Formats: sequence, C-alpha cells, structure tokens
Amino acid sequence: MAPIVVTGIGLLCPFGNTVSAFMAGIMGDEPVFKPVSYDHLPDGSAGFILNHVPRSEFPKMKRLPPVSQYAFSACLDALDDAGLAVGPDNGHRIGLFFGTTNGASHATQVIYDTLFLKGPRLVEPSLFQETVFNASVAHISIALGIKGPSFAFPGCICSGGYAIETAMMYLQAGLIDYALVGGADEYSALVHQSFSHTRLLAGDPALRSVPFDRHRHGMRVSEGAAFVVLEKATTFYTRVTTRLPYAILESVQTGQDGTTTLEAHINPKGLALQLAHHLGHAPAGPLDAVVASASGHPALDQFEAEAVGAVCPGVPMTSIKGTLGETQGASVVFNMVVAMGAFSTHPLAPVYGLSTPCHDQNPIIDRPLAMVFRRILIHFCFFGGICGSLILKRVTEGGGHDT
Amino acid sequence: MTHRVPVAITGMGIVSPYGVGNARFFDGLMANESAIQVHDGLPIGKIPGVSPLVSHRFREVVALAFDAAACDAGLSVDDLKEMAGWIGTAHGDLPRWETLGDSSSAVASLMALGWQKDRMRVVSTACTSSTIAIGLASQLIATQRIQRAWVLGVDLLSGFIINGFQSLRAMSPDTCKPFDRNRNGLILGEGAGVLVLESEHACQERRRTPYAWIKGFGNALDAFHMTAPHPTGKGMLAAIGQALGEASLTPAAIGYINAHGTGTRLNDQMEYMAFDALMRQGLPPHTPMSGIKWAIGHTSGAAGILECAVSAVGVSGQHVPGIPTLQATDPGFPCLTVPRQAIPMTHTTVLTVNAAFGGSNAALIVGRDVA
Repeated sequence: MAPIVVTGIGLLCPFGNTVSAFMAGIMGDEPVFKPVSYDHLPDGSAGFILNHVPRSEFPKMKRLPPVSQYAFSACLDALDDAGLAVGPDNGHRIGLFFGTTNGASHATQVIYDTLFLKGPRLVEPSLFQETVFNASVAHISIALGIKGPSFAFPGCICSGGYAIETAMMYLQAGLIDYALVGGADEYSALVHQSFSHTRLLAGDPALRSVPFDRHRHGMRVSEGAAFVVLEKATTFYTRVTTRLPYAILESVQTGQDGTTTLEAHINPKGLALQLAHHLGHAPAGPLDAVVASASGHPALDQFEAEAVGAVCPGVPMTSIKGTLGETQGASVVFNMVVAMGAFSTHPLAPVYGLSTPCHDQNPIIDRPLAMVFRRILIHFCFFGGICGSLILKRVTEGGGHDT
Repeated sequence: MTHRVPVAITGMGIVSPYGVGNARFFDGLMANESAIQVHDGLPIGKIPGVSPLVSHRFREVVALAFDAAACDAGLSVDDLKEMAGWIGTAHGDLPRWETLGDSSSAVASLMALGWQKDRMRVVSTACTSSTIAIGLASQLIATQRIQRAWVLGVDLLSGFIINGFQSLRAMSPDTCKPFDRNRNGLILGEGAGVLVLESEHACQERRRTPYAWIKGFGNALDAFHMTAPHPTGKGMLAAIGQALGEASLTPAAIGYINAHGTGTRLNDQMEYMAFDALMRQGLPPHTPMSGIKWAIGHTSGAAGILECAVSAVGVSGQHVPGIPTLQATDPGFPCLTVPRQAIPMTHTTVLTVNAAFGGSNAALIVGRDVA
C-alpha cells in the first residue's frame, strides 16, 4: 500500500501566522499568554492569534466567526504549500477532516446573550448556522468548491487525532485523493468559563503552567489553527518533482481508557494499553522522540508521563505547550509540525521552563535536542479517557524513508 | 468505487417522542400516529416519560437507548462497553449546559459515558451526524479493523435549538408535510437511537439473525450554501452514487427511499431533484419514498440513526411508514410516489438519506440479504 505523506502545512498561532514564526516561537523563551478578564469569571491568561489578515480574494471570510476564519486561512496556506489547486476536476476527490473542541463559541455566546437579554426574536440567523461543528469546513468547501466527504470531530485535544485517523482510512481505501486535515479553536468567555469551571487552568498568571513540572498548576489555553495536506506518496510524486514530502504518516490509532468525564484512570493503564497496542501493530523500529500532549495539568501530565514511560522507556519526550499553550482542536497537528520540523533542519524544542520534572522519562530540558530524527511519536490524551498516538517518519532523498 | 463487505445490524434501541423503546416507536409510526404535541404554543416532538431534570435527561435518554439496544441484540450492556463506539450528535448535552451552565457537559462530555473501554469517537456534522457515524463505524467493520461496534445518535431539544431554527424561519407553525404543495417548514423533535453493528463472522459466531445489512455509505458536500441545499440535488446525488457504488448496486435495485424529508420548501425540492435524477439513472418509477419527520419531528443529529432503524426493520420484511400529513403532493414533484400510510416492504434494498447545514449529504444502502 502506498504510504501516506504530509505535503502541505498551514497554521495560525499566537507566535505568528507562518510555520517559521511557529518554529521560532516554540524554540524561544517568550510564552504567548496575555491576561484575560471576563465578567463573573476568574481572571486568567490565554494565547491569542494576532494580526490575522483574511485573504483578499475571499472577502466574505471577514464576516465569519474567528474559528472559521482561522481554519480557512490555515487550510488555504496548506493548499498553497502543497501546490495543490482545487478545481472542478478534483473537488469531489478532496475530503475535509476537521477537529475542534468548542467550535464557534463566541457566536454561541452571542446567541445566548441575545436570547436572555433581548428575546428570541432578535437572534441572528446568520449566527445560528455557525454553531454547528462542521461550519468551518463547510465554509472552506463553499469557497473552494470541495465536494468530497467531510467530517467534524469535537473530541477536545484528541480532535485532530480522530481527523487524521479517518483521513488516513479514506486515503488508503482510495475514496479520495487528497485530505485536508486540521483543527482550530478560538478563545472566548465561553471557553474561559468551560476550562475555569472544570478547574483545568493555571488561572493566576503567577502560577506555573509548565508541562511535566513537579510544581505545575494547570494548563493555559490558546487559540490556534493548523492544517496539513495528506495524500498517497504516489499521488504526490506524480504531481510534484521539485521537493520531498514533509513526512510519512506511518500509523495512527485512537483509544479510550474507560473513565469518567473529569478524571483519568487512577493509573495510566488505559493510556499505556492504547499506546502499546498501537506500537504492537505498527511497523517495528525505534522511536527517536515523543511529542507529548502535556500542558501543565497536574494529573494529565503525570499519567501521560507514566504511560509513555512504561511503553517507550528512555525515549526523549517534549511538549511545546509551556510556550504555546493548549490549542485544543489544533494541538495534534501543531505537534505534527514540531516533528516535521525536527525531520528537517530544526532541533526538537525543549519543554519551556521545566526544571524539576515529575518523571524520569528523559524529558528534553534546557536546550533543544539536535540529532537525526527518523521516527517520532505524537501522543495525545485528555480527560474522559480519550487518547491516541500517531507516528511520523522522515522522508529520505529518493522519496523513501529510513528503516 | 471500492466494493465493501456488508455489515449487519443486529440490535437497536430507540427513545423517541413516542416514548421509550422500539415497540412504541414502530407501533406508533406504522399506525400513522404522530407523536408531535404542542408545548408552549409550539408543535414539537418531545420525549415523554423521562426525567424532566435537565441535569439528568440526556444521560437517562442515552442509557435507556443503550439498555434497549443491548437487550435487542441479545447482549449485555457490559458487552457494549467492550465494543468500539461512534456517537453522532449535532449539539450533545446542550440543554444541560444551557440550564446549569455546566460546560463540562458540552459535546465533549459524551466522550466519557463513564464506561467505554474501546475506542469511541464523536462526529458532529449537524443533521448528518449519526448517518456519518453509522458509515464510519460500518467502514471499520467492513475493513475488518473491528468486529463489532455500537453507534449512538442523539439530540435533545433546548431553547437554543428552537430559537435558532425560529430565527431561520424554518419552522412550521402546525404540521410537517414533506413534499406537500403547501409544506411550510419543519417541526423539531428529539430522540436517541443505538444500533449494534457486527461483521458477518461475528453474527455467525453468535448465531444471530440481523435485521438487515449496511451495504454502502456515501458522504459528499454541496459546496453551495450554509443553510440552503444545492437546488439541483447534486451533492445528495453524489452521496447516493458513492453508497450504491460501495454496495455494487445500481439505482434499479432500490425498492424504497427513506428521505430526509424535513418539510421545508428548499430541502424537499432538493431531494426531489436528486430522486428525479436517480430515476433517469434507473431508479424504478413509482419507487415508494417517505420519511418519519412528520411523526417525530426533525431530531437533528439523531435523525440518521432513527431513519436507518426504520429502513432496517422495513427491509427485513415488515412495513415502511407513509406520510399521512401529505395531503397534495407538490405538482413540481410529478414522479414521486409517497404512500399516505404504512405499506408492506417487499423489496430487499433501501436507500436512506440525510442532508445538513453546511451542505453535508450522507446516504446509506441497507439490504435484507448479505449478498
């Protein structure tokens, strides 16, 4: 079966709205968080996408909710990067696979404010249509003429993983030729309320939100949008001869560890089982690094560290969420970009601010890790027992991959 | 088009505006009785007999659907917990969030029904959510990645949903009359359905006779408008074509169509265009088509699973519903054959379709026989 490769990347994040800005940001020592304050909610801090300029050739984009604007821009950038034009001859062979945690939360909030404060007659119909989770990909399809299958997965941090998994299945089955896969989330009072209410945040800016740190207090959430173009390697090499794909998507698997909403399994057994199952069915070979999901939450980080440590002992592990924050629906794809950067010229970013790790799972601290990376695992997990992992492999000259 | 292996529907559990349980649903539907009632001046399809407390309602409805499905499939709920699962929902437990401000019970809270041991995913593509969930789950079984799965489709009514649709001026003040010349909008409803899906091998292992087989699935976008379907029905037709292709069937094989049939002017017009095009591709003239939204309302993300259940039971040799609220077929739909009452189903293949905001279209081919 022809391998599935990543051929285009587009993203928006609080560091900036290009891949180079993202890579520079995760290597730096400037977290993106700004103070946020909403009425009747605890204060906190979050990362926001700045200086987003909608594409001039799509003027209607400006009227969309932020999450759809961000998704649209990231998807367009990924298409441009892949050198893929959408037209009448291929629109039906392109699928859209999208992950988001909260969708157009601000639009939802505006509707509720209108309902309760002004009455139902003043609810804006143009807002209601934006509150379905597939609204963002719908706008992409309408603007570009994409008529293939489309999916939206509201699976919190694992949303992107579900999107990748389904896209891979569709490509391998030959149901589509190209998959536009990504995720996006905006920040709003509703999002702030959700995370505050469930006590996931390191609310006070003075509290540490350092992944895997012994003294971590919670996560910080950021806006973000990231898309990749996936296709079979044979398809790519037929249309592009001037460069290699960014990576091979070797395998992906999602799972569940059978727990309740706001807890993780009392031991990381479920996460470890899923990871072991994935690696047991994936092609054999050593892993050079793990890009983790850890975002500074006391329980989740510990469980992830123990699970990864049990299944992949000694493999260097990092997380970028100390600087970038938790980007929710886009986080899996952001972590893929980290891995793909490591395959090319960038070292693997250290965990920002980590000085006293809560585990001995060989965390990357103090300085970036530079080596020849061949195979990197991206792990994702969240409360509710949802979890998963995917493996990216480096593409070598000649279009193959290191074994 | 890739041919795929049929997947058995071996159990179902339904909670609907008729009440709790499969019997109430099918008895009411086939007796041509509407479950729509007026609440606060608005005709809606509301589930009776469950807790009125929004803090409990969603989970109670879901639990009842699972209990019924497990029993119907000859399994225990513990057996279901060991299976992979798919959830299709447009808004999840929105009523709870709306009333209690408990944002942990938004869609993502479905990820933890509290006991799932195998993989579970949520698909949310508005009104095609559970159809797509069925399609994805059946694709995993058909490709032998798993042997069994459950699929849950669920959506409950809330002020947000009702007022949202009212803002679109999409709702009928009286009756849902799909394909009627005087149709004037949709009626909202709520419901939950669970289907148990198994491979042929898993069925044989348990010596289980399925209701029917899912033979094909299609999913395509209109790329047209956020709330209005493509007037030519091209997106719907594309989804139907994919589903037929997977089933290795032509339109000539279809014996009944379970339409999305919301009762809005635009949706029904779009579906007519798609079905008319299908007739030019070989769909037999006078192929009966109907739906269930006249009876229980438009249940959003749950519509697909409830309509698939109707299709499965129908094709297993029983009856399919009519549309008794249809008084005079739109003269612009000359080739539609819509029974006014439930009719016996003699054909072996059914097409069930759904459409959604954002131009999402989904289709399933459900057959009586595995081959």
